[in-house]
Amino acid sequence: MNAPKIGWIPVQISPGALSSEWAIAIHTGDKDLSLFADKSQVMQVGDAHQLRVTIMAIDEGNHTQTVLLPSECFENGSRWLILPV
Amino acid sequence: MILSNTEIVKGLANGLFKINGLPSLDPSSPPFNTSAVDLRLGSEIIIPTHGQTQIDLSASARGGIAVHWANNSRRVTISEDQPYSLRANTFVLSNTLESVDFPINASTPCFAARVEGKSSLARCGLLVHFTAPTIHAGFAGSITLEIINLGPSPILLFPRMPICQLIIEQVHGTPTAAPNQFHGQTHPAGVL
Repeated sequence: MNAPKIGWIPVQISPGALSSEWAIAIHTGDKDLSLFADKSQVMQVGDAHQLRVTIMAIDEGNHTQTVLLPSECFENGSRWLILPV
Repeated sequence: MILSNTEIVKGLANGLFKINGLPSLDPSSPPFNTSAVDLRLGSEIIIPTHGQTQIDLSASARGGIAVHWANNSRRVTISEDQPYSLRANTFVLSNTLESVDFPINASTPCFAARVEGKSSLARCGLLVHFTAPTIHAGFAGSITLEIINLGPSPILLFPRMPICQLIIEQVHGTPTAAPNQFHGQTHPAGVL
């Protein structure tokens, strides 16, 4: 994959500090990551929620994708995340 | 390269980036400056509450640190009739009335922005951001403001008051994945 494209990842949401945002929790194999994201960046799918991300690269050999979060996580200060495809 | 007022309006018209809620698109009048656009204060003030004696950003509480911050702050809605009086040496959060969108797109130029304070407010001692002014390519939403009053007198915060300025710059090249930025991640994230 060469061009970045929009994708969605499963997350847990809870009320943010501002009414315009959600507090986002992303469960990873290492640790939970969290950030605040504007509500416009979250969609509900059934009872679950997904966060809009930018898919920056796909590693077909390892079946992983590199995504860019809308803002940095508190726990590691990074916007980058590797997820299984 | 910093965009001029006319280039900002062109970029908006061409859909290269978005600033939703601007009161005018006339580059020769407010909210435009020659090379920036003013954004206004939203209607919520977030007041951090006193809690733990120390903050450990490496800790991973259930739900993450974001939930901790959300649960340890108080939200106040302000209005023209009931502004918020920000006392000296007091820190609060708020956000901009306008929301922005700086998409990453390989087929068109990418843009980023910096949030800067307004000199008129700075002279009163009001800071509306400190460190981390950059709105990176790929961000969408309203802009969170870290506001502190370093002046000697309380300052009234009204919703819709011009509170900051956005300086927009074109990103050279298209952002791509940078594997060396994965801080401490040892294997791919799982799913819920």
